[in-house]
Amino acid sequence: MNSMKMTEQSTEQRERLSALMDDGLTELQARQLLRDLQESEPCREVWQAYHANQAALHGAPQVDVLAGVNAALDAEEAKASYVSEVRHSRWIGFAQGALAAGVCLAGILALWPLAGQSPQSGPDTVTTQLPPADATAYLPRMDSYWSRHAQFATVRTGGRWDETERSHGDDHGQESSL
Amino acid sequence: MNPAAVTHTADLVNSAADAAAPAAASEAPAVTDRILVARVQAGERRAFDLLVLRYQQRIAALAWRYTQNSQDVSDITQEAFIRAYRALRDFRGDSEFYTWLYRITVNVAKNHLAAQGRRPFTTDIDDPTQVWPDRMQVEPGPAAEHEGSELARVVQRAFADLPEDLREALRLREFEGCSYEAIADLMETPVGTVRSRIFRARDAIDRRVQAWRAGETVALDERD
Repeated sequence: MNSMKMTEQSTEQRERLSALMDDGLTELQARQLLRDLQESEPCREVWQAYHANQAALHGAPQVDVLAGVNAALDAEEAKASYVSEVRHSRWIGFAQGALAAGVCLAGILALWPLAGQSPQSGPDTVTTQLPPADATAYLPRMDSYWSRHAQFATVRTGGRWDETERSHGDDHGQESSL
Repeated sequence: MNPAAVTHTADLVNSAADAAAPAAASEAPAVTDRILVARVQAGERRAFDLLVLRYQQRIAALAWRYTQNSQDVSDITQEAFIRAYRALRDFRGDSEFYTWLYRITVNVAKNHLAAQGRRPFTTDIDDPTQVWPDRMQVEPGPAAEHEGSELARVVQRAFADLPEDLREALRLREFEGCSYEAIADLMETPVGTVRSRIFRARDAIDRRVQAWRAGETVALDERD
């Protein structure tokens, strides 16, 4: 199985592994050797072989459940990680929704007082500046109209009416041209 | 396999056990477990791999005693470690890690059998201090016919072939649970020598196993 790897481990190292099986090392020595065991596959194989032989010496059944245990624990950790991720993403989604709702609410509250004011009172109220009326040009025409209207009302003659209408039509034409 | 050799192995083990007075179980703190548990709790998944490698055979042995079925043993062992990993963040170290793991395994085994409408093969195993099945399953029978039985025979033969001083040091450690200091007292040797003997015994057994895996079974059988 591991004859080549076994020889890679020094005799001293294997003796320490044997002593470690029996808790025959100082704590410092045990800590260092256990670190080696965790990091060195050949070292672990020696450790495993010694324990397998020990079990065989006692007539115990031989099992190797390490791979199965690790596969089960890996699957559990992957599942736990997935569940945690889903929960986290749900929380993030909820937080994002809550943030968006908060921003909307803040916006509504900020704009709410403005909704009751008249448009002119607002800072952005647009005022249209009309050009000044040409009162001096308009008034003589009104005077002319009223004078002709007064003449028509007092005289009430047909010939004058026609003339007045014609004259008014001319005036109106002039007004349109203005 | 040579049955005579197996019987010889068992005799060697049992006679050695009778000859040496059982010393107190190891009182060494489970430094290895404590360090690994702390690392797992700190988020180092790789540290849990070492706990699995360290205890999977013992947990399998416990599950075997409940079910006597190889597939059940694998399922229960795997499930026990998965549950242990999930619960490890709450483990405060009030008891030894293995004792805690043992209780988890018993619950998993009972639930596993209950889900299938079955009853435990035995109920007389609620003793976390007994970490291994009865000494050496060398007799043919259901308990010896699990996966790894052939490896067990190779290892046990290799153990029987060890030089006396190495075999005795390893036996005291593995079957009597003696600490290095206790073995040093019993064998009247320095602790460093005990550590070296136990290592050399394990290394010799492992070389035999590697040779067996490489297809040298025939050569071993011929020598037997």
